[in-house]
Amino acid sequence: MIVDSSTVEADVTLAADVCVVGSGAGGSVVAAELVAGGKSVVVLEEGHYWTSEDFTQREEEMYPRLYRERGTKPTADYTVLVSQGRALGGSTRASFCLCFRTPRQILAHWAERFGLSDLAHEDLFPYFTRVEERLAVQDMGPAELNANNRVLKRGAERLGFRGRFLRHNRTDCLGCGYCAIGCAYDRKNDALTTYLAAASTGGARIVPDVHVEKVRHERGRVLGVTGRLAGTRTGKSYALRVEAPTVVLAAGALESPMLWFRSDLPDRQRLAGRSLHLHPYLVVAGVFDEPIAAWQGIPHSYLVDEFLNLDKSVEGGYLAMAASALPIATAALLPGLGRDHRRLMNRYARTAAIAFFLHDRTRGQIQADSRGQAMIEYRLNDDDKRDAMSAMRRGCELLFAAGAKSVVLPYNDLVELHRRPEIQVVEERGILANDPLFLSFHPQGTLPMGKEPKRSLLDSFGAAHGVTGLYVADASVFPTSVAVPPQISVMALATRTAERILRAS
Amino acid sequence: MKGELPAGLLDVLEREIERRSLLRGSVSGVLLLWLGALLPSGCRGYPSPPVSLHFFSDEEYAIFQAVARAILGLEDEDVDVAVEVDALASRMGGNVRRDIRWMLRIFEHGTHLFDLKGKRFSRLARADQEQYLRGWMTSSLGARRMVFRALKLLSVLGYYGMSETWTTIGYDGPWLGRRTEERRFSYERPVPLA
Ligand SMILES: Cc1cc2nc3c(=O)[nH]c(=O)nc-3n(C[C@H](O)[C@H](O)[C@H](O)COP(=O)(O)OP(=O)(O)OC[C@H]3O[C@@H](n4cnc5c(N)ncnc54)[C@H](O)[C@@H]3O)c2cc1C
Repeated sequence: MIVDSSTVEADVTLAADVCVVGSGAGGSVVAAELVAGGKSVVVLEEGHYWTSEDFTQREEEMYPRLYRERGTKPTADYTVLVSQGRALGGSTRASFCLCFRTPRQILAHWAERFGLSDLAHEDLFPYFTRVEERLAVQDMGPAELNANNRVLKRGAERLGFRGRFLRHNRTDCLGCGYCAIGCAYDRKNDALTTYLAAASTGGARIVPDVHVEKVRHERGRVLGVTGRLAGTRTGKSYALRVEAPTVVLAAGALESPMLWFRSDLPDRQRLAGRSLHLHPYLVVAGVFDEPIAAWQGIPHSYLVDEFLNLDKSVEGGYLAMAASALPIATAALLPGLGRDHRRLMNRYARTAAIAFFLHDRTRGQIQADSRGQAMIEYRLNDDDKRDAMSAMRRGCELLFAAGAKSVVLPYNDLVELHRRPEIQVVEERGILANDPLFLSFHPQGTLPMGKEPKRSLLDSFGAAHGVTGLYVADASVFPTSVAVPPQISVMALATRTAERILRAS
Repeated sequence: MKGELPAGLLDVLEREIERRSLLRGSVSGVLLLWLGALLPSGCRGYPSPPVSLHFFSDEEYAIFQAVARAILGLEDEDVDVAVEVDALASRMGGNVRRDIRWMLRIFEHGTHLFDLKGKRFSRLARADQEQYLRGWMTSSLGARRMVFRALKLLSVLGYYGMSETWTTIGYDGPWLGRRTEERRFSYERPVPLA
């Protein structure tokens, strides 16, 4: 059952076999699997229980509702703005529903470099299948291409770049295009409408509007968690305590390490919060003669993966997809000022946008700032800068090949190219701090798995080395970037973590 | 949407100006903070705003209006972006509000320092305003680029959050209210915890 804590008028204590912190891609799966296995489960979620009735299709209303820090948490030097969901259902409520399995080459790399030899593609195959069935994942096809995706496909085909249709977890999508601010028609098969619904039916107690402060532990054993209930009718905040011998952290790659710090969990090698990957992306825009209306239709349905050649190298490269283009976000991203910016916005309806997601080698870090909030240190290394410059060049080629009249690069000031050779400007300008601007929807890797307790915090099931009863089941656990949108990787590994918890008891 | 909560991107502004500690960490940032402390406040000669304000002073209202119009390239004197942003800013935290004031002050009077101009920003001709803004946007000092980005973000939020502006860019607006489609999921009613 989903619980309404607004009526609470005193501190509360609950008891359960397992307490799950966070209700997104990882937490929802663990909760549902454990309930199905007969465990009593409490799920604690900082975000609110929003239903599709609350989804207004207005950016200025929905970003504060669905996102942590309204969806734009900057890295310390403002080079990347990071979006993380904060709602019952986590980031999946704002997701674009793209479904990728963890690439086989990445898993092989994990085995070789981090000793994660039981996570080969064959080992994970049943978990991927199970998750995909639950989410009703299906292929997209030509009927799902909006004009923006058609531009990408046309450009790629003309240049001979490898591309394909994407897979997604939507059913009977209407193509309104407001995925990033919540589906007002419930056509996404997200964590809330699938796994959490099942967990609730199975008896899990799901508590939204609670900020978990600490994991309680003693002599290497977990005892439960403490948190605070927000949004009570009395206006007061009350303490919530959960007694549980097993705790699963699934607060996402930015907040799970913060919980680790606040709880003084063991970390002799100071690994927590390090090895952050952001899978950052930048957007190259193209202005066309014909209408594009990039905000309409399914935002991403086609992929160009020519430049993420994992067979050649498991590190580096990038994916190209069409970019979502709601008006405020677009206005903030488009470069320049004054008449330049106005001219760009006047051509908004004829503008296509391609996003390039870097398979980043940069390793950033989460730290607590002076107010105890997560601060993201992340400075692109030279390899990733080279890839970013290459991505801008490819963006220019793709858009001109598709028929763009001009191409706009994501620098602070307006750089509009009218012919392909002008792209050499990228070499002249390079990549500076906060110029160009990058975004990230996929932070990951801050509490990495590995065989060696000296080099990792968790084993391959997400169990903490050295703290009995503590598990992590979210995007923190990856030892490197997974190179693709991560929800299916998170969910498959979380299924495996739940299985391990059931076996352990 | 007058009086609505700040949109997602507004948070960048909060962060940008809350992190004056970041500015303190760079030579250019320290310079900016130091200059901010020296610059005048409470100057005279600002017009009275046409509405009562929640956050901006008369002076700040006029400065922000000039900033937003120059950034957005607006010729139309009737569009009141500052009143939108006044409502947004009134809902932001105390530190942030203090820092918005600081940022506007340094921006308004920085003309004398950065561009050696004889007038404050809001009194410059539009072409000079744009040139001055461009100086911040393309500055080799990261801290100045950050302030520019914060001002641009606020301007964009205030302006493109207004449904009246959508026709100018060809955006047809949300489906809700003009198309009826079925909601598919039956949400359970939450049960009181206590
Ligand atoms: C806009 C957007 C679009 C995306 N689209 C895709 C896509 O199409 N395909 C894809 O594969 N991936 C996509 N992703 C990424 C994907 O959603 C995430 O990688 C995935 O959800 C991560 O799962 P998680 O469990 O780690 O975290 P989340 O799903 O983010 O869940 C973490 C939850 O923990 C809660 N929490 C945090 N701290 C606390 C605390 N102290 N106490 C209580 N609760 C807490 C948060 O509020 C949040 O709800 C998208 C992400 C975003 C933001």
